[in-house]
Amino acid sequence: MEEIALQILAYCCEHCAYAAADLAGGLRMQYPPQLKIVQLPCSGKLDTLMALRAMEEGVDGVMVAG
Amino acid sequence: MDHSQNLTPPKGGAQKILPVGAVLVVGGGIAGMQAALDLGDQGFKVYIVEEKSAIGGRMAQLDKTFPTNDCAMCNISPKLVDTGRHPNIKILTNTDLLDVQGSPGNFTVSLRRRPRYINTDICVGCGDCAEVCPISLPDIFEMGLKERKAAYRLYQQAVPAAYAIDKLGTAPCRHACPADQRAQGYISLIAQGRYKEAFRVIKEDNPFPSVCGRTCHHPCENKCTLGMVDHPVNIMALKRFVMDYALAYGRDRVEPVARTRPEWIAVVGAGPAGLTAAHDLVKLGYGVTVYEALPVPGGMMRVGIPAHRLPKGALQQDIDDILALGVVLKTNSPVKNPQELLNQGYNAVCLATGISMPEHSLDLEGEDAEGVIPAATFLRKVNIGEPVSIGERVAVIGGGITAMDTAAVARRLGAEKVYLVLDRPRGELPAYQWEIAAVEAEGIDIYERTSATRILSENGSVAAIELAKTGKGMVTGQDGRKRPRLEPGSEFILEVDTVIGTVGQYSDLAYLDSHYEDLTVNTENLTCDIPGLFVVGGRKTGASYIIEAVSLGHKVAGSIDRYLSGSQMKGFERARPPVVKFDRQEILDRISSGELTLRERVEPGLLSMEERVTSFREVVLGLTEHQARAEARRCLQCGICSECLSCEYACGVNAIDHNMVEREEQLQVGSILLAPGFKPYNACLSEEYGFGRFPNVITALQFERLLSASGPTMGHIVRPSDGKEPQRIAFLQCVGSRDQTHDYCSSVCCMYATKEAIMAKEHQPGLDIHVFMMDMRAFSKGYWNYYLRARDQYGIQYTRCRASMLHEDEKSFRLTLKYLDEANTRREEQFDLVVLSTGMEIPESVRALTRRINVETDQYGFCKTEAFNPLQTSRPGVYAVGPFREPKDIPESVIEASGAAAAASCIIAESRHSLTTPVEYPLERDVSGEEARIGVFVCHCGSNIAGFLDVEEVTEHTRRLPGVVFAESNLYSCSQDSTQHISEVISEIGLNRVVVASCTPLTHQPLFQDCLRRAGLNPFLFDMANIRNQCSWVHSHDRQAATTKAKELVQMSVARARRLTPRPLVTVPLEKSALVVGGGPAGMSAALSLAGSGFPVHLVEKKPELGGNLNSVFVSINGRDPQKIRERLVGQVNSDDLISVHLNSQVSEVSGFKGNFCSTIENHNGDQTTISHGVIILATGAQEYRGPDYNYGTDERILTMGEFEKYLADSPAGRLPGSVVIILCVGPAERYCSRICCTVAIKNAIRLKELNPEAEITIIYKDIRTYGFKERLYTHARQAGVIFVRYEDHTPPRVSTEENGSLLVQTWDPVLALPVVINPDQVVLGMPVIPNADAGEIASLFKVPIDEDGFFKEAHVKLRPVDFTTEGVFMAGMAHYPKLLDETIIQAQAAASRAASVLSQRDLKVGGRIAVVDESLCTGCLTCLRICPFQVPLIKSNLVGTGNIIGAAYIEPATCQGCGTCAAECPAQAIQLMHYTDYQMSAMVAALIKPELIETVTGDG
Repeated sequence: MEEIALQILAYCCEHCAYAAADLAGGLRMQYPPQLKIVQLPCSGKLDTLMALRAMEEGVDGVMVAG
Repeated sequence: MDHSQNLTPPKGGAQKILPVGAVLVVGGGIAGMQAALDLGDQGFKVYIVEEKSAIGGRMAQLDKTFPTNDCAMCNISPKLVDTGRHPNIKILTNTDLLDVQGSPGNFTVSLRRRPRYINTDICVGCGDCAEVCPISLPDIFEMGLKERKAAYRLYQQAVPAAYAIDKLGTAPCRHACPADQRAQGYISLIAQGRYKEAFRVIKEDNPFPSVCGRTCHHPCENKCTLGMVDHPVNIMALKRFVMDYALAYGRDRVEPVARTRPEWIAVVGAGPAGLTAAHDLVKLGYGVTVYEALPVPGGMMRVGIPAHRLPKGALQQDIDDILALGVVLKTNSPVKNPQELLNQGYNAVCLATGISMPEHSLDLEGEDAEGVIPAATFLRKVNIGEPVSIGERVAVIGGGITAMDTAAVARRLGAEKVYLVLDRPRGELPAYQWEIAAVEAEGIDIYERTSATRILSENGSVAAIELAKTGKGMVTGQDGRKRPRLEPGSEFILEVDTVIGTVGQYSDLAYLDSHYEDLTVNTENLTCDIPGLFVVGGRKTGASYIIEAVSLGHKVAGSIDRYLSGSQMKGFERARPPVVKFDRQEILDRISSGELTLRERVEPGLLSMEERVTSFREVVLGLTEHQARAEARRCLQCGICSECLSCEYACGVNAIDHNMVEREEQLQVGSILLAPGFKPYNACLSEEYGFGRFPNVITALQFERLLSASGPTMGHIVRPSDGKEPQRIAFLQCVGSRDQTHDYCSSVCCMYATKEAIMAKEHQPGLDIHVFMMDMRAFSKGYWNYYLRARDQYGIQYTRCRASMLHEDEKSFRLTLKYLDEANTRREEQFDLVVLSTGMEIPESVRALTRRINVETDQYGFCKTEAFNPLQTSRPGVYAVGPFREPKDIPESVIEASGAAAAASCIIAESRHSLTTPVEYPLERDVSGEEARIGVFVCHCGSNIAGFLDVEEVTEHTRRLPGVVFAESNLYSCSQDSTQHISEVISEIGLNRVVVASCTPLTHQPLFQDCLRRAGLNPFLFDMANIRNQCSWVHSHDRQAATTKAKELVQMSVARARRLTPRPLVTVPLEKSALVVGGGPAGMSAALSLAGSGFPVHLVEKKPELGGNLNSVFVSINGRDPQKIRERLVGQVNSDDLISVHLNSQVSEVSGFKGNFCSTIENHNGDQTTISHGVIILATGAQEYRGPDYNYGTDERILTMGEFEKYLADSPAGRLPGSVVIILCVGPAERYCSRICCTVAIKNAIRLKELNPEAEITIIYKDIRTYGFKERLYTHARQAGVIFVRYEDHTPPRVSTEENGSLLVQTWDPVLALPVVINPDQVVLGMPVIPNADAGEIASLFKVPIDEDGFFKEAHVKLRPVDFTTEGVFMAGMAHYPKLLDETIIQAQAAASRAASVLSQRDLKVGGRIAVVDESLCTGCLTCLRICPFQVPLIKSNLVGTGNIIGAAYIEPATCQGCGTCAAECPAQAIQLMHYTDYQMSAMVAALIKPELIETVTGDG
């Protein structure tokens, strides 16, 4: 099966989800490299337009974690 | 109180000694960190003394925290980072406080700094050392559920991030070795199959391993700890195995060492000492020539040891390796006059002629005959290959190793009969028993207790030897030598062709020219009378064994180096770590506990006898790989760290120093704060639960680690016995609390068990969880509801009982609990896993500390504190916080920490800022209008990044991104030299943006921003790409994908960086005074504390007098008269110049923000005063509930607890009630626990019993929540005869008045299963504390939140318990939640400390990452006002919004927290969060998806 190169953006709150992703790294937990994490000062900073515009730009998925 | 001296320096007169503006904080747990941060913020220097290798304490071990189920690490980690980076805080890890001298304000403290062997200033925390460390041991942080390496970091997020090495000291094997051979080091590597490294380790200390692997007298094995209980580890055989393996499977070529020194050194003698010295000196960069008299090098190793014991090839291997380094060897070159060598131009000469075997006379009649040969001559000839004829019968005389060798060689040369003549029995000979046995096995005839008396010859050749039996005792001959006494008449004759005599070897310098006879040698540094001449050998400094010669070689090389470098020649010996010593019993205990299993020592095989006696092939065969690894695994790893130095070779920044030793240090501090924390009770002592014996019985802290996503099982709950998921779990409460040996309650166990039960259910919803407890002590804010949620929503079963015993099924490892339930029914249940909720104790190390520094404790080691200053220990100037005072949870520890910070700072307030040095940066360069010039630094992080993705490819890719003018890779971007380099590059190239692609910004961004500031760039012109934690580490199996992703992450960072703009911080002046609202104990304490720190305070009280609720507290719970405390507080407040008291007054208006508030105080006459202040403390108190429950108000004999207390205080003895019923959990207390009612009820019950011992008192309760030491009151009350009757929610007691007028209380006793009916004289209702009627008004006036019960809501329940989310506003006292008097005072001090942290700043810095409104777009819709969690946005009427509407949103930069929620929600997009603008954020997306579209832009966000 041909692999589709997806791009998933994960907007992560720097207080929790971003730190959790750092910890996952420390523990060498593996996840797909298509996921790109973007740090936010708070998940409250993510506005809907930001997510939608990312999709318009061509991102295949947006995840918010906080 | 007069504080004037605090504000103005003393004028004239005697010089006043100022206190030291520094504080010592003992313990780096959450309390220690909080205190340090407060004090650091207040301008004091803080030293944190932490016994472990990192701060974080117990909280760092927790998975979640109650009652919010927040991740403990997410909460604590920002504090860790703040503490680690705080410019005023210095963290001293691996350190103990030894002694305190001096007085408050001027203490001298002595510290013991234990070595961590890794320099924290240099270590970048990459972990390469742990990766290569061969030593594994139980991980204490993981409560033994996992192993870690000897080189370790306490936990992932540890601060300092530096690694540490766990080393007990020098292993006994290494210590025993004259050459310091790190035997444990290579053994541990052999155990792992890392032979090449083992080879390297052996060579570190010994250039003759092939020799020593065969012929060493191995003192290491004699000292091996295992030898105490078993055969020692076969260290010599292991060494040989490594050498054989290296020879067989190849090893790295030895390359010549580059000459770095101009000097030449001559070494005389190519034996083990001389060649070792040559080896060391060449490695140091010197030129070395070795002169050897014989035609071959090797000395005694070559000519003294026969080939069947030491094959010539093995020796040659060692020698070749030395020569290959660049040593020049001249054989056949005897030296008689070393001075000539010096004259020739050698800068130093080393005589290393060591020992020789003298060709001595045997002192026997007839010894001149042909065929009598000294052993030395014999062996030399054989070893060099000269012909030697011995005939068919040979007698060898002597009992040493040489004699054995000689006999064996004679046998191999073809002698049919070899006689070995021993003058003593075997056990008394210098040779080992096994050596004698070996030659005997080869067919050599041994004559024990026999001495040669003469040699008989025929025609000048030996024909026979006469022997005689020796008797007991010795005789001294005419020559003064001692000989065994001979038995007369025992002579007999042996016919022989050759007699070989061996006599002891010794050292001398007789070969030198005669004028050297009187040479005096200094044994410390091996120098002698002739400058430049060094002597190893001779009578003083000769060696008996090869390994001793090696040791001397090292020593003389070191000495020569010091001589040539002009260093000190005396007293250079460094302090060394202690030798590890074990008790035999300790080892036996480890065996009996199963931790250690004895395995049989592996012995190497031997050559068959047939081959042995017919050839010179080596007799002892080497170990096989399998044997070697098995033998290596027997090692006990005595030193923990084996000093194999693998870490030192792996470390890319040279941070490792194995030579660190313990040292003492002195510091000057003004006050001391003790926050050493607790240890969980050792559950092994409660043998009835089988902890330590039953694998599926674990402690709560272990369970916490099992729940943790970063724990040993990554959050999977498994049974230790089989790794399977449990179905049924039991929690047993009060293990090590509230029992015969602990008269206190540990305060936290009910809640943590509940939390762990909830978390377990969330992980595994099908779990059946039972908690067995005595009372549910959910006494703090939010705890009761948390418990109800656990019980009712999560279905956790709570059973009231005290479990007395656990039984284990030996096959299934399931556990059976037999107990009596509340209805007295015998029950039996089975569980897969049992968790023991262990209580808190004070560790022995802390008790020892308190004894050392004279701080009083109770019998359990808990610290005693003072009456009026609840954090003050018995020693003035020393404060105690956290569980060290009394068991308590995190928020209370944090409150105490801040409170103690306030108390500690009062002593040294005058010296604020005296020891802190602000960092000075150059002026920021104006980059506006410049095109982006971005520099990118890509980090290898040792192998952490470079090992898993192509760093060079990423760097190359980066260069092609628009705006990038510089890109390079660094080994460690965060190392000291790299950060310096980054600053230099910024200046040299004129960069105006910087991107670092390395690890996580959460820990490293401030460090790199500092590089920008040092180079004159605004720190906001920086971005980080996290290509380690979120790329190389998580895609470590796919190098290509990781490389691609790293490129993409850098693209995104660069795109954002191009659009970043400077965010200069604006300085705002700060009003250095405080407003305290409420004149109760909280308000008064807060005001006094702030005034003590030198800040003026306005204290506003609405009533005509100070005192608040304290005016109605009369009975003490701890022997401290509440009214005396009140009088003292009021007196102090009234006499304090810095406190302005406003009685009969209220605050009517508040405006402004942190640092610059303006308030109006209005008194009962309507007079108004306007004041400016920087902070606000709300201590507005609370009140006793007076609702109609239980017919309150209908009968004057039904009293509230407050009324009852007053009654007791006022009543003359004659009018005391004879019978009282106290009912607890009244009215609102059904919704939340009012915390103090149980304690107050019991206090008053005891008081009544004291006044009227005949009084019958019944307390009707749901749970008795006498947490901490209040448990003692509970016990006291029961002992005094107070009756306790429990009731359930569904069967509450009823109070009524009977027709005859008497009071009637009816309730159901669930234990007796019977109704209880009482006719008391009085019914006392334990009315809860409820908020004041005006609490809501006050909250809205000060714009602070309140919770659902009407109490103030703190910013964070665990970590900011006295802060409001509104900046600059703090809380204290019962307005926050019901609390006892000492708790109130402590919280007030804490609020004062937090407030002082603001007031101590020189000014306020405002700006940076804040939200900014473009008012021209604002529609005034109020969305931002509603959404902001910090209540910051306002509509300002003087602003004009879109379409010229009047009024637009304004966000005060000083209070904006920068979360950006308003920016996201603003429907008009009128708000932008600076540094995270839409423009900057969308550029990142574009750069990810369409990188080719990035064109040059000028950055303007």
